[in-house]
Amino acid sequence: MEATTALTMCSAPPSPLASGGVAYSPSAASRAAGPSVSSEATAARYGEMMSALEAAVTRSEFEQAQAIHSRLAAFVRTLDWSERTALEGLWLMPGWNNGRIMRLHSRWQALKIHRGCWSEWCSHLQSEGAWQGAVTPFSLRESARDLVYLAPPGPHRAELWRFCAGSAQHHDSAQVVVSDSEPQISPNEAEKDPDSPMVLDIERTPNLEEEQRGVLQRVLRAHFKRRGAALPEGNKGEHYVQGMHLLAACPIWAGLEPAQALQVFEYVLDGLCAGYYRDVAFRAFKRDVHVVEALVADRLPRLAKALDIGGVPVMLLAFDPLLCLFALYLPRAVVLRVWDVLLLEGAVAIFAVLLVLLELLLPEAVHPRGAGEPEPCWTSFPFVERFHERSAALTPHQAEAVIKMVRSMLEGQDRDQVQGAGTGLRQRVLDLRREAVAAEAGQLSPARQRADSAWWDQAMEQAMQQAAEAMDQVRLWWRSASDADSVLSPAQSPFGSGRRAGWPVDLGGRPPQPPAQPRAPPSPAGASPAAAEGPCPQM
Amino acid sequence: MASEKEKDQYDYLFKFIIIGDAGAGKSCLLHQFIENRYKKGSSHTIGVEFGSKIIHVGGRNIKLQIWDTAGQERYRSVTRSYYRGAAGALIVYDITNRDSYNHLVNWLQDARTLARADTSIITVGNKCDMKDKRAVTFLEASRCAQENDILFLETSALTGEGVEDVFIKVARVILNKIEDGLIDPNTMVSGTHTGSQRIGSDSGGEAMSSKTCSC
Repeated sequence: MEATTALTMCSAPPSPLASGGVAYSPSAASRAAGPSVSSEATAARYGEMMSALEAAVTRSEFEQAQAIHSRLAAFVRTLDWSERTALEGLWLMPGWNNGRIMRLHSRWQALKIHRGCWSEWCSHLQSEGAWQGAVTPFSLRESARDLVYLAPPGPHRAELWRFCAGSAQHHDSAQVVVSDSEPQISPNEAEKDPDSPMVLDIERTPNLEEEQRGVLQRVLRAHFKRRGAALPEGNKGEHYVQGMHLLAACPIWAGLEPAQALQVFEYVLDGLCAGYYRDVAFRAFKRDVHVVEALVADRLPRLAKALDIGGVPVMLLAFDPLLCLFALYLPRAVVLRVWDVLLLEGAVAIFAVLLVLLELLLPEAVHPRGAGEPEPCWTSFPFVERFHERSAALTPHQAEAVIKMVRSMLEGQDRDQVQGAGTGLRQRVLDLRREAVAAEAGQLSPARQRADSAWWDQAMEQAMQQAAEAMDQVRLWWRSASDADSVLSPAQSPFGSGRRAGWPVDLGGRPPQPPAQPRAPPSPAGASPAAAEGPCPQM
Repeated sequence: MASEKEKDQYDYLFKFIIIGDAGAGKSCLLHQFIENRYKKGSSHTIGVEFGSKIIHVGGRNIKLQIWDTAGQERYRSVTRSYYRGAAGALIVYDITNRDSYNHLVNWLQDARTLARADTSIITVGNKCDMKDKRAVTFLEASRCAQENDILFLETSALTGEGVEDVFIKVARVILNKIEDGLIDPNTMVSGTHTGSQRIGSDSGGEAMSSKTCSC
């Protein structure tokens, strides 16, 4: 496995976190191999076909992509060993690098599953428990992650959300019971009820039928009952905090059944709004507000300055995005669409959506003035009101534009650099959260520091696991001798093991290695896809 | 409607906070004051919201910068940081909800300790349109306000009754304090400050007390 560990690292500088790998210099390795340079024409042809495949995959045109792919595979089969080696080096193909190949690979894999439509994607869900071939919870999630940017899930939203929440949770979904017999409390009794803000908020939750209000109440009560039961006697456990009702209302808006709504609610509460509601001091929330502040200063410096002059704390713009995941101000259809992305991308998407919305909705503060145009008076500029008004006026059409921008933000530079020192948003959010924890460390009790460090480790571990699993998938694809889809058709390749097209390493003398095993093969039982797949990406 | 530029001509800027139990009608009160209409189907406030309006009191243009806070006890650790330097505080209760009235004392204590020692405070009995459900009489609330040396008014955010009066009343008290020399608006950069001389200047930020999202 030594070589493959090195492979996983070759696209990023060695990180202290990716320990155990052998430091490897890809360029040195490939130069040492001294490839016999094949004709420029072959490389040009190869590059052309790869570009065509990429274009078709980007447009999600499955038929066309498949045709190009077969042509590509046939073409590669005609090449001899030295020509393939040269092509793998990539230096004959300007514009191609490891990151681009990785992206193409993962999007092609995604396209093979979803073929450009949600009903096709959903047809694979039904085979849950009997995963076949390339379809695993991981590849399904990756596929959905590709598809979610292309089209709204429409009638398949409930299935998508259930998949996102279900595959990330460790509890058996069969245990989730939302009792119909849960006593209903009328608003008149609310004053006597310790949860009265909850009852009040349920009454004033928008977009709900009377019956759905009942469902919302049952979902919330079932949640607190479950949480309460897990705690020792006498501890009343978690309490209702204003804002939670919107997190629970969203899955109901999306048309989920009560038990599924509870599952999604608990998933977003623990996974996306991690820790925000947990402690009375709102420490995790305030930490993430600092992250937002820093990101706004990074990416929207004019806005940061205008807010500063206006005396408007960034926190005012972050309450709804962080605590309610945008459910308070965005129109319902847009909230659901944003949640599609949040559920698949994890918490980093909250920051991405917020940055995109700020840029789109406060253009006067984001973009430089034209010549002769006076700067608005920031001391009286209604940042918060404008942001909320304009959020409320977003159309589904504009929401699609927002989502496209979110994608380019998340996939820009950092997608393949989760474990490296990337400059992209994922990495930046990780760094900023680490800084926020470190900044607080001085004032904290040792117990508190331990808890925070656990929080941090968990986040890192998830990012690492995600990266490792993504690499495993790629590795399997390129290495598998039986995979007819492989572009380089490794069955006929003398370097079928430990090699991928485009990774110019491990050229000499190693014996062929058995294909890597997936980290934890999915078992047929419903409970373990989660274990195989790991928690939903948090970063 | 005044243009954006004209709107910014003011003599003083006062910071106000609106506090009180959840569901007392704080956000509706603010909305009624700023927009002159009732906010239907309004949701709860998450954290803190914000609005501003210029009013004319005693021959002066006063810009009110109003911070509307979440009522739930659980949010206090977030909302408290927004109290600092407030020149005026509105403590809102619901006249049909005895509990919200009983909690006045706690809110009063919060305002006095966290805003400023000389914050001008008014207690506001909201929902006075719902007379048949009244649980707190005008008289007892008025007496309680007197004992605690704070102002008192009843309002209806639904009909708008008394809403503007609340803000004007508090602003007038603060203005009187300034004119009597009890508050120096130039040294007290936190709760109030003079507005006119800084119009068009780029340096408004440092005089604001509101950048208090410190944790």
